[in-house]
Amino acid sequence: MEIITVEQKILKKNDEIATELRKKFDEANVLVINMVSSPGSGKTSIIERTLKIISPALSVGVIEGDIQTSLDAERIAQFNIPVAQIITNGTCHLEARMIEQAVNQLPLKDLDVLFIENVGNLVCPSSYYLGEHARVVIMSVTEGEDKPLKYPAMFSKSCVLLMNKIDLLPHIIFDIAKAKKFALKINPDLKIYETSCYDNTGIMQWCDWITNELKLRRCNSPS
Amino acid sequence: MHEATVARNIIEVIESEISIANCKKIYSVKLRIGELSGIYPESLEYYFYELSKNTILENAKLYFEKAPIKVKCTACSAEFEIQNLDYDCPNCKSSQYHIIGGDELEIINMEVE
Repeated sequence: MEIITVEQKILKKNDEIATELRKKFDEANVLVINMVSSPGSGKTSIIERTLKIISPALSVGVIEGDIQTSLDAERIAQFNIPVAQIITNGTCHLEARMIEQAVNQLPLKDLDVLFIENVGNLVCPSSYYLGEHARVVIMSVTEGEDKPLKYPAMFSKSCVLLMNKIDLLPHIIFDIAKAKKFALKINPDLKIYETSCYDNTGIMQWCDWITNELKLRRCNSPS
Repeated sequence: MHEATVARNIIEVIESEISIANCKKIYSVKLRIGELSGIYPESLEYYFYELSKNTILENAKLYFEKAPIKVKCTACSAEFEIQNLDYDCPNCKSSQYHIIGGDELEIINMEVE
């Protein structure tokens, strides 16, 4: 018997596919945003509100990840934009190989922004790089202020936090200062926006972040 | 929570390794699993046992090396291991840090014949 050193990442195949995807996204000059959150915190609603503002000035595509249904993709399709549906059949996260197949259904070169709506789950999606430029985590105020410390991997790998359903604050016990403190404790670079899909609070500021990010990327892009 | 996928990936990575190593049997595999990775070892063992049937890894035992959560203080740059993310920097008491380790999912080595 002998011991063979392996020293390999278990998800190396995923990372390799994601790196190839990133090259493809950069060549197509499209800003790719991976939207992650727990179930029901408002990912689809945020994308809908965002589309109302940035589309059609910007050409936007959406990849909808869902464990079981195409309900979210049907909501997004009403905006007459390119949508690709991934039904994971129980798998609790999206993987790079799934995105690889989904992008083949999209006119990538014609897009300015591509949203990937991940499966609602604050644990597993954090381990899977999808080739995105930005990971955006959504946390609704009904979930409790301790979420960043309970799911640190997800919050520490995101660059934007949308604190959603902010209109509900008068009706619930939620210490927003504490929630922000916890989020910034493990990710001091996190950009935080308070948002509401009910009264559109913060949606414009979030859209400004997207357009600014797009400008920055294109200024720095050789093409 | 994603132990089934991780088990499948372990088998795929090792199957690609053994073509190089040219071994007949694998007795055990040692993994480095970060405390932030969301992996429950007993669950991973279950899926690995099921998914490795009829492969060179059938009946191979999994050993786990836990990788602790590591952070780097934004104020004094001290690096330290941490159990509870609610704690402040032990060096300067600053309350903010970057997480620099703890999400590892790695195969360290394997015992083969």
